[in-house]
Amino acid sequence: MAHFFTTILYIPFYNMLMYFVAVIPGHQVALAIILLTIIIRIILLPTSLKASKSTIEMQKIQPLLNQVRAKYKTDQLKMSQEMQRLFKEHKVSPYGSCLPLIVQMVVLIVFYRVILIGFNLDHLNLLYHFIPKPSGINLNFLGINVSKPDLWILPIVAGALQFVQTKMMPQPPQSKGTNDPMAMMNKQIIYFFPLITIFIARQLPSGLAIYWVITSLVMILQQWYINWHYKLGFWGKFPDVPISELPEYTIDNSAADDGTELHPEHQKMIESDEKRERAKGVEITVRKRK
Amino acid sequence: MKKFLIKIIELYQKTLSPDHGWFSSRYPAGYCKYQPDCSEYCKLAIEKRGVIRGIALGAWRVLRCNPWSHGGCDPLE
Repeated sequence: MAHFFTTILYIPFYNMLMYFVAVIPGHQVALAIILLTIIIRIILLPTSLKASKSTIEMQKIQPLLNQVRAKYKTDQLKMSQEMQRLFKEHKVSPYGSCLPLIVQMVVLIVFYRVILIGFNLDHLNLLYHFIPKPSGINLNFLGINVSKPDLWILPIVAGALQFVQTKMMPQPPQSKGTNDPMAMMNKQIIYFFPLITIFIARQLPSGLAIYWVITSLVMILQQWYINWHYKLGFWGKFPDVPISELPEYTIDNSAADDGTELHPEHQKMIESDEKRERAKGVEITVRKRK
Repeated sequence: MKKFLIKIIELYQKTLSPDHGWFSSRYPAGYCKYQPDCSEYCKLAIEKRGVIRGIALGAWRVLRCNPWSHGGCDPLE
């Protein structure tokens, strides 16, 4: 299994990196890492642009969604039908997908392993025959050795850029005043994660910190473009729009508010959900979609 | 082993998961395009089918959860 991963992941990556090292004048490993990072981000660009666009589209209609939620509290199925109708009406496709997240994790781990393999001339036998062998390897980058941890500059830059990047991601407009514990948590976590990044980056070879810095930079540029596209300003602030100025949406009044017109089957579903929640003793959210 | 894996998935759901965790307020309609979402599916699969088949089913599900699929209702059979 380990051998399999080495063959299909680490070695191709190592080859790409070494190819850049061989081609770049001065054989700077840091420049090769930067180049490779930018290429990876360009490959992932379409999915991440799509994801951040749909997040903003979703947040735009969130006041309407909350109306629907409040209205059909008692009837999960009806609620999800109405929400689907809302998405269709405003041409929003709200769901992301899990695979791009995993791909990013895998890229990070592979990068880590490749940098750990090291950049000495002992491992050149891992190169494919059509990759030119670099005549020298320059690990120095602005006075920092790429294969050793850098304690201050790069980790702090990485943390700071990551903070800017999360700060730029727009928040749903009405989450400010609410007491939703998850939203509160989210607010605290954006201060917490950059700190974790700094501490982890201090332990790892600084090549990885360079990867992190460049990734955050590219994501900042992307988010900047998105925020500009939706006229939200650099920090992605939603204007506070009064409900009356929101796009038209008519709530279907056919179902009674108190849920008396629930179809027996829906009633059963809701009951079984409640039972399961009680049995577990933990609060879980059960979403129903059709 | 089984319990351990399920604990890990639950830990993920409570923390990093964009569907259940700290970031769930950013995604009002949920993040995953499938129902149940990927982590819940993996948890059920490992619980019901055992570790090896469960992991295989879960991995296959995550691969299906890509930008080119349609998503929707996809319960464990």
